[in-house]
Amino acid sequence: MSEYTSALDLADRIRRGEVTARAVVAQALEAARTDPFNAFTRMFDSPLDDAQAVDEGRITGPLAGVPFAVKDLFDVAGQVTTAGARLRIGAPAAVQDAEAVRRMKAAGAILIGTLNMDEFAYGFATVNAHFGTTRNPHDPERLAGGSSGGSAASVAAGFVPLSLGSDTNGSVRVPASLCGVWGMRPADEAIPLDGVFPFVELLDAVGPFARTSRDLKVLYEVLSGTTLSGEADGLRVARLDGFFERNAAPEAVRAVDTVMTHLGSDGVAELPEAEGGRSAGFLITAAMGGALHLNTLRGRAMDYDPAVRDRLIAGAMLPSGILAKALHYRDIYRKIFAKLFDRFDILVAPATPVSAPRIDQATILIDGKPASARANLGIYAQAISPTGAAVVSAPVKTSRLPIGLQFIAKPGAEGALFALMHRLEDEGVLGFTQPGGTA
Amino acid sequence: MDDTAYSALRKGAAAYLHLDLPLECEAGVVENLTLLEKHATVLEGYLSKAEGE
Repeated sequence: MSEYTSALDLADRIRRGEVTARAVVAQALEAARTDPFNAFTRMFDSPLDDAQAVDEGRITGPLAGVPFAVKDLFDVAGQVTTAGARLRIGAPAAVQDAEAVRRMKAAGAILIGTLNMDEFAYGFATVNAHFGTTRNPHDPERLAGGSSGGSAASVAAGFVPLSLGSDTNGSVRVPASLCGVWGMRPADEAIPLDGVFPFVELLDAVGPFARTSRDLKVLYEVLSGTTLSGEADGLRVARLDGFFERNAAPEAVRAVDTVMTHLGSDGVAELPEAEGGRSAGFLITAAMGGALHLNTLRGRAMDYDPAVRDRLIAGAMLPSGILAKALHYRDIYRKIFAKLFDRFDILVAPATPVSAPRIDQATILIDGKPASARANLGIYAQAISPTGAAVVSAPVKTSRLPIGLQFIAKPGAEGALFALMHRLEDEGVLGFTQPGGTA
Repeated sequence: MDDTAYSALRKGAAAYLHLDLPLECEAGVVENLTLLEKHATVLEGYLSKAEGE
């Protein structure tokens, strides 16, 4: 049994008795214990008992026996939800599982531990002053991305086939892109946020990670409580231009070109308001994140990760008039964006402007000038978050460092979105590549 | 930012947010405020354009 076996294959083999859930879970626990990438922050005691229950038929479901792990901002009954923060280590333990965790367990999946993240989910790097830096399994000297860096790295490294993260401004799509795995930012309110430590409730979304598009689809169905159907034939696919091309490195441009050429599509969707949408999202995040933390900052500012603290303080100081304008423009932007779906079914844009930067690389080029690499990894993802659309971040097949594309659909069109993902994966254009492997 | 300007910022934070702005945060807070100012300017431009149409 390879550590890269898909979740659906694992579930099938367990169901047919070819392998025990106990063996599968024991392998995942051992991998997590020896994790060289600092993806895991904690392993639990009960997974082997749960696996035994699967083997005895007491736990069933479409993911019965499949191990998974969660970003450490999902409540797990009896555990402290740290949200990646030292100052929460002494917080009371959660009394019940987050709804997303409950749904995974109800589907038979087995939770083995929690995963590293940027403190309070405010970052694109998973460089955490207390829990350390999560390294990219494709090159440990490079960033895994964030804020759900542990979630992406644990799947890319083959420790678990599935994981959960969260996405406010790109915190699923950025690490999925840099680690070369599949990730999803679901449409607004598609998956309940109950029991997920909040960052910016207006923009927060639960996001799953997987190594195949079919695993991701099943994971989404379990989490959203839906059954998807749709066809890839006849879909009108267009690339987003302008803002989404301006700062793209050659690998990001090449990725979009590869997909569009393969599909034989020359569709171009113009969104000249994208920069304004991104700025609105940036300001909403700063102001609402700052407001959420203000009370804690008053008493314990020096217990925060310094980089996160300074962002939150600056956000808390934003005048409310600017937040009001940002919220107003978000509404305008959502309407403009929704109109693109009158002409197109799926929009394509890079998930990140570059593949994974080195951990010690301070800058990338933005508008021709060096700008903070960590702050700008989410530039394209941030411009989509305020739209409320469903987005799959898909790894493009490459023999170089991974990079992902955003495939964006209107809410309710997830079935067609996944049908296109399956087609492009089957045809070898998209797909996970093992670290050290070739496309 | 000069001492006077950061002192004024700290005074403002204390008065309006009841937040004792740590001295160690000066560089980071100022850098982030500059970034927010840039985004606010961008937003203002797009908002004016949208409302002018």
